[in-house]
Amino acid sequence: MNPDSPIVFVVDDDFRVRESLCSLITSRGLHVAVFGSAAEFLECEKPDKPACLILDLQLPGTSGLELQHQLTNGDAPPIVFISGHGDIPSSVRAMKAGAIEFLSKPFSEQELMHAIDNAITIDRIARQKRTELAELQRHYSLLTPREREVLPFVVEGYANKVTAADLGTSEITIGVHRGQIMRKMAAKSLAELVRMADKLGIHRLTDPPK
Amino acid sequence: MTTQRDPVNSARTGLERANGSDAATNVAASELINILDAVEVPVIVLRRDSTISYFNKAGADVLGLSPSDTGRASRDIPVLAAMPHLEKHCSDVIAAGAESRVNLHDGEKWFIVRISPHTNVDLQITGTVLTFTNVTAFRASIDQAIYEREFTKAILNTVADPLIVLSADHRIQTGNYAFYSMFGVSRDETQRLPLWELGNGVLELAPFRAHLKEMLAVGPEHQPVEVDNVFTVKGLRTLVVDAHPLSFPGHSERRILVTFRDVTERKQAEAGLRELNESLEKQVRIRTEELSSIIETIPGLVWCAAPDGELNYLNRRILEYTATNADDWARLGWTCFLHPDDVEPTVRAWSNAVATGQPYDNQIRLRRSDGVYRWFSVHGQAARDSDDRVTRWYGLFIDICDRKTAEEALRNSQTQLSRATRTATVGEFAAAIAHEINQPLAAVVTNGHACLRWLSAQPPGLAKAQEAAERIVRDGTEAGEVVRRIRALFKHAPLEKIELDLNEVIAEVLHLLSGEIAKRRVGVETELADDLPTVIGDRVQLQQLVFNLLLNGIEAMDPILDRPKKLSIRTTQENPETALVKIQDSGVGLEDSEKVFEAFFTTKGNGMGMGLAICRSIIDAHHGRLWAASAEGSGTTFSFTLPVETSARP
Repeated sequence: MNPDSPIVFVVDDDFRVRESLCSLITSRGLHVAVFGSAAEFLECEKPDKPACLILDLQLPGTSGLELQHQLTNGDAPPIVFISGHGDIPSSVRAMKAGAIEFLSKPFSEQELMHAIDNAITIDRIARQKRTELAELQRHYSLLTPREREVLPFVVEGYANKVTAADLGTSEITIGVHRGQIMRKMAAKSLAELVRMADKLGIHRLTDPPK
Repeated sequence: MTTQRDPVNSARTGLERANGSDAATNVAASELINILDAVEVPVIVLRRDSTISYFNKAGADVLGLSPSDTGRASRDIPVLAAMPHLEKHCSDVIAAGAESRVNLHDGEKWFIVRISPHTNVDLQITGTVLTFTNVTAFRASIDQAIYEREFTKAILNTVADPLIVLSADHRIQTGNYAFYSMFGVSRDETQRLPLWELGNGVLELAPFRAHLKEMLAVGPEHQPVEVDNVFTVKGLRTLVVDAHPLSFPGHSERRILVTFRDVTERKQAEAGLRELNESLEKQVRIRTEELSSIIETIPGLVWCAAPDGELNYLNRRILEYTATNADDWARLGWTCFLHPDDVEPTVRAWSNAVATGQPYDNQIRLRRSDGVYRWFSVHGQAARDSDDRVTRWYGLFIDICDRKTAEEALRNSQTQLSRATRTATVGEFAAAIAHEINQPLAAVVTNGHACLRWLSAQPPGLAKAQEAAERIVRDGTEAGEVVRRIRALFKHAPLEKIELDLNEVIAEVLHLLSGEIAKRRVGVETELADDLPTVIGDRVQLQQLVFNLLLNGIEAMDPILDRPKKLSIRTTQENPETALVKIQDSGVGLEDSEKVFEAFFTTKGNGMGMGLAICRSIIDAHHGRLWAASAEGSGTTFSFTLPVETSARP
């Protein structure tokens, strides 16, 4: 099995369910890790690869919904809920809190695999976005404070002259900053720099120059 | 006797010198001297040069003169020297030819001494004659009179009530200190003042005068009068004025004593007392009315009876209820208002209470005015005196008809309820069943898929496929077992009492509830006695009983967030006849350990309140006992007992 292939975490207190899921998912060429409780899952060191979490709604100790609540940080895997007698309020809560799917036991292989594939794809994209963002942030960290000050003017499309007047410096200096920003951010065009700024969540000027 | 001689000789010498010397004159002189000696008033004759020329016997006796004193100067005689200026008085008398009087105080004796000119036969003044009148006794009586007067005055002045003495023409003669003080006048300004002018316009005396005038006019038969008057010093005072005629023996003058008695304070105190009295009477009246009103309007039927049991009071409610009056009851007797079936037992119970003095409690039907009999709970209590003798019976009828009807209705519907809730609990069973079957079923389906996957893999994972197939068999069998158990539970077999192992019943129900227990994260502890004897009962009913009690305990712990949810189940043999089951939760506990068994009583948001009522009816049908109690620490313990199968015991 490809060591880089995605991993599926299963958390269910019923050993029969754990056994059968483990067998089925392995047969589809995915890595599986099974846990009897939320605490076991939280303790475990997770490998850095695309993943999804199949989570039983009714768990002893921390319930499925509670675990979902605890996993709100960015890099937690997407969740597929499974339930023995799924009640509508619980499923609504789970989906609202960002679950990929809510499956009632017994469920078919297609339902399960579809949900797992979906979840893993979503995780892949999310992981890629996180990588990109981390790269951008690394670039952004190279900027001097003055360059960070100039950046919003550039992405808003203000002429160097206007920016210089607003920041109380010369047009030429702004031109130098601008060149540095483009280089450090590794932006090939102004359009790309604008997209980068957007991803970084750089805010628009609160007090635009006259 | 020589002492007698000298004054006589001396007198004679004087007379001789005055009248010449002849025998007849001598005889007359001797007689005169005898007469003078018989007079008890001392007499002394002084010459112009104030030497003594004669003194009579009383002079010797009273003033202590001796014959040798004749011819001595008066200033040498102590008793005469005690009179100041005697010589001057004498020479004045001689010069004026007119008598004068001086006082002489000699020891304890007082004398008035008359000094008169002594003339000879030629009517020439030759000296003075001193006659001593003893006034000692007179003086003492005057002193006494003065003393008495001052004493009386002092007494009058210490009398707090004003007094005045009026002359017959109503002029003020005198008054006591209290009078002058009260009227703010002085003795001088009221002396001889007509009474009517008293106060000089400063005092509001007009009505006072009118009363007084009238009183004085009426005379001794008057009544004291009460007058209000404003005084400058003391303000408004109420005085009782009285007048008494005064007369003195031997005096024709009549006087009037007027007394004033200040009764202002007494009047005020009387008024205060009267007010207090009225207020107390009013309070008593109000309180009595209140009590009477309470007894008349209290929503209960109140009666009283004499110690012998004879009814003697019925409140308005009783009379309204029966539409009768007290006379009707007296005439017809109270038994005629009772339901005919209740008369005999009631009379017996009441007679017994009256005889023993024990509190009387009974339930009776009382006929309402429309002829309907309603149930009442009757309570009578004897009131006793300090000797513990019954003085009165107080009693109450309480209308319990609605309650009794409700109780009856509840009893009638108990069986219906039991049937109804058996259906109601099906829903609760369903949730448990779903979970029970779903888990193995889900595993079966997933294993089936896995099995297929392994078989169709290249190369096929036969070992894995076999494992999956084995799990399918295992879990499928388990699901079948669940179904079998459930079918047994719902089997519509007629209720039959068979020998049952309670531990087994509990284990079955626990298994059924395992989904619920996991879902609600309840820790279950069981302590089931190995040697528990079998009981006789209906399996389904006892399962339902245990199911309800366990589910109740599980649900009671729903609000618990701060501590573990623990459900413990213990079975023991309580005694040779009964088995005991205790189910304890760690929930919030009970408020009313009896009320929970009432139908439709629930503390849950979505409960029907039937579960525990059903339990009770099941237990009743099995001749057991079921009760609830707050557990140690927190939570509730439900306990029930069932009779054991005694014939099965060795």
